[in-house]
Amino acid sequence: MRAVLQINASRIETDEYGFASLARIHAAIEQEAAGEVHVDCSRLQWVDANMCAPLAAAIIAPERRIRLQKLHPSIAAVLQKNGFLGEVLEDTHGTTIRYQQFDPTGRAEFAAYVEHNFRGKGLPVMSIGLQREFRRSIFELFENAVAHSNTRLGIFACGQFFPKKHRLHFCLADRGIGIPNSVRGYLGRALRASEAIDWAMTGQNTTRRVEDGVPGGLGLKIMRDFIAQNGGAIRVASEDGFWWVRGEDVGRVTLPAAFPGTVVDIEINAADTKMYQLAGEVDPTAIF
Amino acid sequence: MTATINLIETVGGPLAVSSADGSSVHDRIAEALRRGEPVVLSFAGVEDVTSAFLNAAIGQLYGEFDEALIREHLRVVDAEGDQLALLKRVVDRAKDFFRSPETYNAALTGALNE
Repeated sequence: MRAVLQINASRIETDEYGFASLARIHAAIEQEAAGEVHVDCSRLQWVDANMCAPLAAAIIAPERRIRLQKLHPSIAAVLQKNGFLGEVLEDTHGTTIRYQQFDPTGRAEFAAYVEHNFRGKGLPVMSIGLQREFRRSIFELFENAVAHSNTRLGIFACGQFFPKKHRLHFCLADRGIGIPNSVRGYLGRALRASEAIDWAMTGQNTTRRVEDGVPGGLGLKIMRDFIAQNGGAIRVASEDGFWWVRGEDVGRVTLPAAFPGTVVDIEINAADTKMYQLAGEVDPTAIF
Repeated sequence: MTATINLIETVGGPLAVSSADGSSVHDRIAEALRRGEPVVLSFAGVEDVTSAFLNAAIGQLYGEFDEALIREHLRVVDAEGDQLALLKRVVDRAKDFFRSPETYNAALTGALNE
């Protein structure tokens, strides 16, 4: 018996509507029994390539074989260039950051992925400082997913450079317990998912407890500071919460369905030539 | 006798990014501190550092050892400016985290009520 589902959206972009579409298709897949599930993509005209990471997180389903059908040729070409559809087409424009799935223990594989995709490749020529801060943010995101998500279905990474806008996106998704679950458990309070994400993204808030022995709460703060300086944006979806920040503007909404796990997309202005320094000069003898 | 820990050797490359690697570094530092030995931590050749790594390597020391003892025994060499700045933030954060957890957590919860 084969089920056929439909993606009703015409575009999956890196925004509230794109994540809402993925959350809906996830909810529909979850309703299906074990077996083959075909997802009819004939209405889709555009997919931001970086959204392949949350797309994978949304459609992966134990005991179900998911097939994407009737993909528009231009979308299929993009998803072949970044490896999402398995077969890899040559990326003549040098704008692709590969799609890859990682096991939470796959730190070495993730380090190799970052090395391959963000250093010495034809992607935008960024200042050394910008590259370092961007790589740091990516590693912090992966460590956060490993430490907090308890994902059993993997961690999914993908990115894309949009040369006309000088925008570089990197997206990391996991199928873990989600930020709202962690925050509610820590605070012992009922919160809307978007409120919980807002709490997790604010200041140095952390769900780490002193008895855990290791402090936390700094990685996202530093990433947020960097993205603000750079003129980029951060978007987070978890459960039915969607949260974003761009400059001084922070927004949060409730999605029509729940996104499984957590997805974080960071967008940077790749043409930024600012020098990056976390603080002024630090005296190495006055740190401790 | 001074214990010198080369990060690049301990983590097996120029990436000091994972909390697991940070924990390995922490264990070596903690062992030396328990013996009362000075520790020199060398960042030579390290390219990428995260707060996740530094929290595990150094931040958690503040839950186990006295601040004064850490200050007296631990020294960092060959670190670049941005690495030092990140380390300073991690250390300041760790001191706050372990110094007054009740106050810290109450402040977080209070902020949510505003």
